[in-house]
Amino acid sequence: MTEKEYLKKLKENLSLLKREDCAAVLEYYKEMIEDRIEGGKTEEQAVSELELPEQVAKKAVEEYGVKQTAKRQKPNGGVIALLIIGSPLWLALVIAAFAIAFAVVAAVAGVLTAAVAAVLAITLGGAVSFGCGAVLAFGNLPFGLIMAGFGAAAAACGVLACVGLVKALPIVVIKIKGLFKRIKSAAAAQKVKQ
Amino acid sequence: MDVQLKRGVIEICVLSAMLEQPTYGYELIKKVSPVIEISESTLYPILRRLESGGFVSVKTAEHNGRLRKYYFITPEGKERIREFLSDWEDILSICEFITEKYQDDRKRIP
Repeated sequence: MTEKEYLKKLKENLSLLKREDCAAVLEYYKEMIEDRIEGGKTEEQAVSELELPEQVAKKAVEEYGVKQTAKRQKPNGGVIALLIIGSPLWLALVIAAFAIAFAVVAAVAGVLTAAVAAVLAITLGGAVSFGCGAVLAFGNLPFGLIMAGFGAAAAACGVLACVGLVKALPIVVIKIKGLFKRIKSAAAAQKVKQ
Repeated sequence: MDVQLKRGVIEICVLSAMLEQPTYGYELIKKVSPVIEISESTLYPILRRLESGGFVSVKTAEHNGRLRKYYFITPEGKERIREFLSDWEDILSICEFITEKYQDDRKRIP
């Protein structure tokens, strides 16, 4: 690399410096190269003894560069305008997402309620049948026994279903919570992108 | 060498290289390099700091048809060197303490 090339490359990478700082750095390195040439080295040798212009520029910019505050943290007018203009879209999407979530919860709740009702019905119905059957047996033994039998079986099924439901309930609740969390983080990610 | 340690020392090293006579950039590199590793990109901010701190003054002079910057140490700069050496006397006696304790530990049967 020649002296000209080195200094040109250096200048290109110093764009983040104030003009006087950039000039000072270039002057400094020009002097460093020319003093080496005066000492007997060739242009190529002199330049090769220095660090790469990109590295030199990086250090200089770190020390003296105009500090770039995270632009993303400051919402500028353009971004806000876009958000407002686009609000029918993203607002609608957000509402839709919440609506779906609510619908899912309602559906699950509905199913659960139905299940609970069914189980109660079977259990109670079974118990009542058993009672009636027992009473009827006094008058009509075969029929009474059959009724009591079925009643007992139904009640037993109901109790088993009840136990199953009680065990399943926590798992269902956790799954619904997980779904909500996923929706929340997806919405947050969308906002950060914008 | 520990980076922080080097930072504290290299600045005063550069300063003392100017005591003999006013020097220019490349000459400073040549004088200091045998003692401690220093690159142009390390020297540059040091020189700027020393100048803005009032320890060094800079003059541009003509040399062989081009301009060269010469760095002069100021009275404040000399005072700074004196302070540094005084600080390091204290550090050396602390070092003696540390060395003593360390050697004693090494002598103990492992």
